[in-house]
Amino acid sequence: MNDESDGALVTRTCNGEVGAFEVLVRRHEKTVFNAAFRMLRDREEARDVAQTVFLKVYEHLGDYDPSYRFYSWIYRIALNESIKALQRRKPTAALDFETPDGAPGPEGIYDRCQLSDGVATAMMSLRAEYRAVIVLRHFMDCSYEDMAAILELPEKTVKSRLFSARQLLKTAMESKGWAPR
Amino acid sequence: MNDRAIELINAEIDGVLSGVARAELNRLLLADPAIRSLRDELRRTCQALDAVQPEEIPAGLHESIMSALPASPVRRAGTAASGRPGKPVLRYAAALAGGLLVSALAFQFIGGGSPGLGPHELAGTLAPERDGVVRIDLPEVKGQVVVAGTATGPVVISRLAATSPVTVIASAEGHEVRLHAFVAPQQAPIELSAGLGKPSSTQPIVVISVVDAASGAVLQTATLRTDVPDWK
Repeated sequence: MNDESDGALVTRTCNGEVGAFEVLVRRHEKTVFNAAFRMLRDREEARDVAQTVFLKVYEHLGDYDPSYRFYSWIYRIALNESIKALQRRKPTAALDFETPDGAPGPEGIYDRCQLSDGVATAMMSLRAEYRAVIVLRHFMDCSYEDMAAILELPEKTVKSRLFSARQLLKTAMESKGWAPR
Repeated sequence: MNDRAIELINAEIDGVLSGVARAELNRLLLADPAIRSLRDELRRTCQALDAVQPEEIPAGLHESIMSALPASPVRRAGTAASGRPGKPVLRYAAALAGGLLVSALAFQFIGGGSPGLGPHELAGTLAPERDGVVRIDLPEVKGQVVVAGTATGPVVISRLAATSPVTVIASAEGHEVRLHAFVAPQQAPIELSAGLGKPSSTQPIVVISVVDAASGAVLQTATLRTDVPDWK
């Protein structure tokens, strides 16, 4: 396990060591892919986004400002690329919000798997900016400060958006009878 | 519902509630059943979110990222970016009738023709083994796929021999081309080509996938970067 800091790996990459960039890719690829997947709910699109993110990072590594956290930079690119991918979809595709196959009715009780599917599906009913804060907080484990840096928004705005997103998600799940118990 | 209550509930969920704020929240919870109800519902919603398991990354993602890296891409600070990477879009829905079939179908969402240029016209492409060439050496399909940078955009050329129908899917910046090929194994590979149209970048990224036409299973993927000389 390479415990070298992201900043040191960036420096080595800029000095021509491609192997150092490979360590960065291994370190962040799962999170970047998952961020894209939670935004898009499509593995192939998420794969494409993850690939594009790392290519962009590599090409612009010389512009990276080490006074900022590397992951903030890379996660911002991941979210932006995911949103661009959403914008390339047909208008209805981003708003699919159908009951999962075999889902119980409003009175149904979910097991863990069904609940996860319900959460993921309900997330797709949120607008991208709300989905992004949910992804950052709950799937990328970002603090309010991290989220503010990634989204380039004041922390107060980020909190407000996150709180709204959670309530919208709760409402979306309730409206489909998917409220967790 | 007052905003302060919502702020405190969310701070509790996020584990950033101070002692004083917790006392304030407790007072609000005791005083208002609606706040208690909202807090319980939001906590359950967030617990459901946190219970969602991470997705495993697709096989070959790491390799495709590393193989697509340009040879000397790292820009020095202050250097203006000269282009942006493309947005590869993969779609693996492939269906093809069986039998002896050689066909080339190009679905171009935007733009260009198919000059069918050879690999000698490649310029600045990147691939693990040789510039612009993806070598396929699988039990069911053998041969190569070449991506040529031309004045009208990237051109995809497949030379494959397969024991069952396969589809070569090439995509770059929303353009997609599918080459459907099936020849008996004893026959020589047959060349098919199609253009991907005019890219917005001079170095579009082309994602190549070789897919089993019947099952849609991806047999091999690769990512190439082509130089497109003066397509304007």
